[in-house]
Amino acid sequence: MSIDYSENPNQRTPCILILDTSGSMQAATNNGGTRISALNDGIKLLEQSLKDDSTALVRVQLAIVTVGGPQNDADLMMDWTDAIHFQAFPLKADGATPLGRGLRIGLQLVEQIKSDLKSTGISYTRPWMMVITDGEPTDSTDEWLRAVAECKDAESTRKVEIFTIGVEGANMSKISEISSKPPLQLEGVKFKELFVWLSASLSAASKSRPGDKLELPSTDPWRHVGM
Amino acid sequence: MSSEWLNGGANVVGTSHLDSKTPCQDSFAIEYSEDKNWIAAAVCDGAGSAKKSEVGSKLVANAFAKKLIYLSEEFKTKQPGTWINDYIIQQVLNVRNELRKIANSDNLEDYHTTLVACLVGKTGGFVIHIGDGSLVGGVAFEDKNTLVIDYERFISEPQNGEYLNETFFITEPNWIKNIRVTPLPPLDWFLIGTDGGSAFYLNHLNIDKQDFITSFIGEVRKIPPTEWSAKIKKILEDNRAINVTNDDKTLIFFAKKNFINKDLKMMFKNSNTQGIAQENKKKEEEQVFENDKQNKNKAGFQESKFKSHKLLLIILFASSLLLGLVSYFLIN
Repeated sequence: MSIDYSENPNQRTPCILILDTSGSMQAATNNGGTRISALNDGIKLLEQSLKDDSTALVRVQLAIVTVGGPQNDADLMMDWTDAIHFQAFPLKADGATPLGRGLRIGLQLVEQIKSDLKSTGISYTRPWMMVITDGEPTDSTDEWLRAVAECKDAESTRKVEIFTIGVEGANMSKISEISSKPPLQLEGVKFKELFVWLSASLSAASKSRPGDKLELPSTDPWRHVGM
Repeated sequence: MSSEWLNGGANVVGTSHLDSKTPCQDSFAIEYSEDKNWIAAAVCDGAGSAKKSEVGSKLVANAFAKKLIYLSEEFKTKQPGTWINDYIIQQVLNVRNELRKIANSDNLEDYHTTLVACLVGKTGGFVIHIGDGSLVGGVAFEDKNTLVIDYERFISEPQNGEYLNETFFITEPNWIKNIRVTPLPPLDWFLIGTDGGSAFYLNHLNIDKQDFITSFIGEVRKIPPTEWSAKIKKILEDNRAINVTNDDKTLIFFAKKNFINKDLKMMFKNSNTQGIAQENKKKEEEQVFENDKQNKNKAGFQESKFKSHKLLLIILFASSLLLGLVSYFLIN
């Protein structure tokens, strides 16, 4: 489904979420839930926070790629959607972690949204790709190496800004291959804090003007310090 | 000798800069030639991300207004030619050297600033542009009881990188790739602004906000030119301006005396309503192209008016081509 830009010609800040929904996300948490339920709560909060921000509401765009899940594959779960039309939906955890494949789908979607925006004459900030995983990639070595090479290339040619977040149990050294920026580790299952941060960061990006330095909020509320 | 040109200009700090307690990073400068036949103006927008961009913008704006007026003095003894481009490039090199001395470094990123500067005489002129900001103006035409203010419309558009929060600066190492020098027709009025100031008279598709422009000119027409700058400052400071932009804002208006003194109803050649403004850019470009074609057909009777600036126009066009080629070879 394509977006009708004639009703909202605002500048856009696209962000794609690459979310690990593999079997390990079923792991129980201290408060009686599971990682996947904490992730789902976080996404609901992301929806609310974006909708509470009158600028982000009309400027932020989201897409979701899941890695694993009942299909045991990397899938486009939600195509590009304006924040104003975004409705969180529960994700199910199952299967393996074909993260490399998920990253490649993500990069294609980034190129697709830029091309759509360009052809409609809508200006945009550099798209973000936020990768969240609790495991380690199960792709073939070839697929993984190809994916990280594409990510590094997209990052160095300023096609996309990549953030990598490891949930407890994630192979941090493997995820660090994705981006030149070191991955950050989530403290426990502070998905809610993470998504509030993401919303505030996207809001800041969506308000930026030429030459502005983008000041992102502190990651302290959700970041695990020390390894 | 009094000039046929009148002007007013102001800049104000944006609300986002007030919040973060950063100074106004916009600067502007205006100069008249001794014989008052030429005017030079420069507006510079210092980057919010650069530590001392207000120093960069001030130095660059002052230097360019002065150097362009100096250039006009040369016209007394020299015919315009490709040497103008050499002169402009030399001025950029000089101002970059000045900044290097202040920075005590070869890296000028702390002083990042854009530049829109123009030199305008009776028969036309040119505009130098790197990054965002804009110059919009028009050649007017009296049609019965109305004054068509954009019989010939000119715009030097903002040029940004692919992403809207990234623009080009004169202080970047590859500045020569992004400098544009464009000839100006014999304008009767024009507005120059940094991107904060441009937001008042151009929409995001770089289409004129005709309501603002006509009501603005209508209002300044009623007051003495000595009050124009105060009027512009008031507009930029108005609470409603926050809805337009929270950035620093600079806006300068120039008008010829015989244009501003005409007590006729002003109108644009094609009125664009908000609806048209929302349409996609491609349609607008097609429209401009169509208008250009129509103008060419109608332009015969105006020929004498444009004759003298044609020479300058051709020379500058050829020079721009040359500049493009030089930049291409320098970069590759």
